[in-house]
Amino acid sequence: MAYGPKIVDHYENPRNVGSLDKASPRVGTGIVGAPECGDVMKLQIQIDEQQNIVDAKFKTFGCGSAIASSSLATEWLKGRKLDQALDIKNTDIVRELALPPVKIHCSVLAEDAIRAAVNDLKKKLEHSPTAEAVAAGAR
Amino acid sequence: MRLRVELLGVSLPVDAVDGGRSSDNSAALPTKCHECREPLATPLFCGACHALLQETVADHFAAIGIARRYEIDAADLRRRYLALSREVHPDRAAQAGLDPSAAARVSSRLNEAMRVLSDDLLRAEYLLEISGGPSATADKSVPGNVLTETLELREEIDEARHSGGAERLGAIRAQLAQQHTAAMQRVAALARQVDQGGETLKLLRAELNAIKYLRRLREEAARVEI
Repeated sequence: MAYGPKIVDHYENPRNVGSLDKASPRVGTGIVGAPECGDVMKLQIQIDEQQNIVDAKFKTFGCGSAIASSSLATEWLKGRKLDQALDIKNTDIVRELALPPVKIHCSVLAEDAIRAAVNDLKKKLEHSPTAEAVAAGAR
Repeated sequence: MRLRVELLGVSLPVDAVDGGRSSDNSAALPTKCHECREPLATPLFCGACHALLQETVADHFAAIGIARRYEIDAADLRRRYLALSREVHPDRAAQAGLDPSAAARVSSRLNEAMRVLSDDLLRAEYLLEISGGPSATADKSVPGNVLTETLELREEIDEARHSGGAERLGAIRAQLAQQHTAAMQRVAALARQVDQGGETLKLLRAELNAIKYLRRLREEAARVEI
């Protein structure tokens, strides 16, 4: 199967590989997996006082399309408002990377990872006193 | 009374033809050939008059003529599979006047049944499916922190690869083998109880999902050369 140049680029030069401090009240972590193929994806986002996403990192153990999907997702996440993170849809990733139909589930995994990271962060913002201060600062 | 079917001199008890199911056998399978009324060893075709019966309807257990349950007698499974396959072998099928293409379809149906039933994991997955349990696509849940642990182990394997940690890698491989054995035991325990439905099916789905990650980890650990 021939892969598009954008998948290959993200696969060979993945952006934002790494980890953020999971314990930080400003970091949200999403870990998701696809049991069908055994792929696992970790995606993390970090926000500032204004709830802008200032950093995003990922670690994906899976096929090239899964790596490319999560790499692209972190690029798109950076600079967004936290509330706009969920605007990234798997169909956008499919279109941008020209993913073949058999690899669409990789983009779904990336969308799931974004949602999991956002949910984790929102939970922290609700519960942690430090994070409440962060949230208050945003208002 | 136990009826027996003679297939090429191999005698198979017929009481397993209904798949060992008693009451909930919704898709009731024929126990006698509708053409010649001889007892059947498989609902796929008649060994006596060579009438081709249900080629596709039967589940894998019924196709081979064994009880529908996780526990199997591997030698018995193999004996039945070979006896049935011989019947639909092209040479013999032609002699018996069986339509060759139909015989080939039955043959591949038997091969598929054997492939699934002879593998502990595939058999558990199949039992879950025919018991109405969720697919891996529909239910991605795993027990406990399997995803996080998987991620951490993948990182450790990567580290061992880069730093030449042969000892660490050996320990990881041993740990994964142990985890796999334990996970397969949990799968077996749940697969024996699929008829309980509901929560049991969900738990089995989660254990089977976890094993997929575990297998990928083991492949990864096996691939690393230090």
